Amino acid sequence: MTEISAGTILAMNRDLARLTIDPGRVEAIRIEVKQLAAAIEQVRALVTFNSEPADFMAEFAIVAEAGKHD
Amino acid sequence: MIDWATASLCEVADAIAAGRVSSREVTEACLDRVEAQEPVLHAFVEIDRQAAIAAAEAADRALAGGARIGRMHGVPLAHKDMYYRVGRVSACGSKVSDEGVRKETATVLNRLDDAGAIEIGRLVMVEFAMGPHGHNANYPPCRNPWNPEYIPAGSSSGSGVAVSSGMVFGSLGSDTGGSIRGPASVSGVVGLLPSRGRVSRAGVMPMSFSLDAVGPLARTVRDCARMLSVIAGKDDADRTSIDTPVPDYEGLLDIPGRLPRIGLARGYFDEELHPAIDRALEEAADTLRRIGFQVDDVKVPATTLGEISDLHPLVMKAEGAANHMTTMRGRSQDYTFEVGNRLQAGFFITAADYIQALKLRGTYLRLFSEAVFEHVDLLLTPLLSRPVPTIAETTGLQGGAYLDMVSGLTRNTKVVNYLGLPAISVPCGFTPEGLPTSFQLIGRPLAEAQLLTAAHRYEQATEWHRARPPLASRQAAA
Repeated sequence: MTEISAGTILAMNRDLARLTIDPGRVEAIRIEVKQLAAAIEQVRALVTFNSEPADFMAEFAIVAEAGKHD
Repeated sequence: MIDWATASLCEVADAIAAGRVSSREVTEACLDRVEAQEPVLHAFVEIDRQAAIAAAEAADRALAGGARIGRMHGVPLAHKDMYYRVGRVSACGSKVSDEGVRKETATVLNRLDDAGAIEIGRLVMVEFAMGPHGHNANYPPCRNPWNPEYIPAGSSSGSGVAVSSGMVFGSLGSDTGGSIRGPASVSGVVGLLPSRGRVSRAGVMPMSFSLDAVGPLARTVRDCARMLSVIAGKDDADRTSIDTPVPDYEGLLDIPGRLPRIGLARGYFDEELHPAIDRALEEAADTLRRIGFQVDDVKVPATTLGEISDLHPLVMKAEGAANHMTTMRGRSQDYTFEVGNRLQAGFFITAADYIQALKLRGTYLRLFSEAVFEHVDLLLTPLLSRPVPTIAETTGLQGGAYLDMVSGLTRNTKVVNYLGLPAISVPCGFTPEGLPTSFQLIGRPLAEAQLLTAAHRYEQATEWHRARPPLASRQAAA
């Protein structure tokens, strides 16, 4: 499980996003970030090398078209 | 005597067109209901009684003068406060956006204007459409019209409340993870999530461009069909809108034809289902069978749906953070604690992770379609798995408890946004606490006509859509 510290949250906000952060938000953000990181980690192996985001709308059109021929 | 404020949008529109009632009469009936209930329900950000009456009188004069009228001529509506109109503020539920007038009008508002609809005010929403409970610390608490102690759900909270309580006949909401269907369900009205690209998003506040959709909430399926017929279709101002003909959704409702096959979802959607909701869903399935639909169990890809459920917030927050980065640098203190946290979390998603989450959408849509649409046309699911929570139960939560609450309210809806599919929520009963409950029908891309037809047939065979909440009066506030 990914662990993200409060120090990481503060440093990334300041140095990367250039955002000032209310210290009261740090723990809530840390928990959310941990959950998001875990979500992608569990499915990373499913991502194929030659797929791309545009595949979605191609599949969308295929599924829509299939419905017309039922 | 007819209480016009409780009639359906189509009934009122047809009565105005036929001269059985004036737009002024129905608009005043709605405004009276607003005046009586707003101190309790807090559904409106702004309402302009004088302007609404003036617009209604103009509609009546046009009709009397023989003008060609649209399908919603003189009908009072109000929309989630994120639909831009030239010269007007759209606060989007936030202090960040509550200043400065807009320089554009949303395409969907232009289309409703062309159909003759009257907009009487702006409706409360969760800040930047980011929360399924309906809370917004910037406004007095928006309340469920069936019981003010309960949440109205969100993020289109004012939309569900205003339609259910007779303040307006229909409303536009927006849906990124369930924000039309949730509020519609807990308020006992119908909510429609159109397919990705079916309705233009030009001039509408963006939350997540991969997941956002614009759609109607109204008292009946026919009302939603009429609203969709008006707002759907290609728009040059929104290049994600799809260039495919718009059927007359309302006209198709009563045309006999092959009924779509319906699958009752087994797996994922039926996990941890509350007995009362399970019972209402099974009864809805039985009703559909009784009126001629073939309804069979369909095993859904539960693992895939669980993964989608986890990935959805990653996409939503990454895109939300990108939208808000500039504003957050200058005005982070003006975001509410809750929404500020959720957006700020989006800055920690790496580009690689975000791209991978998007790359999986095509694969997941194929897997879902093979499991479901190779067997049936529509999938029947519960809308919420648990009874509607109270405002007290959902206020002040932090950390894991907060995320669990959000996930619990959206688990059955957000997966549909990730897949870009259309869905409709339809009232099908009440929980033991007296709050409405709904089922969800999910269709193939652009299968809105099938969804509406099935939902309409169900509605015609039941009475749930006729139930109205008690009038929330000033006395209740005291």
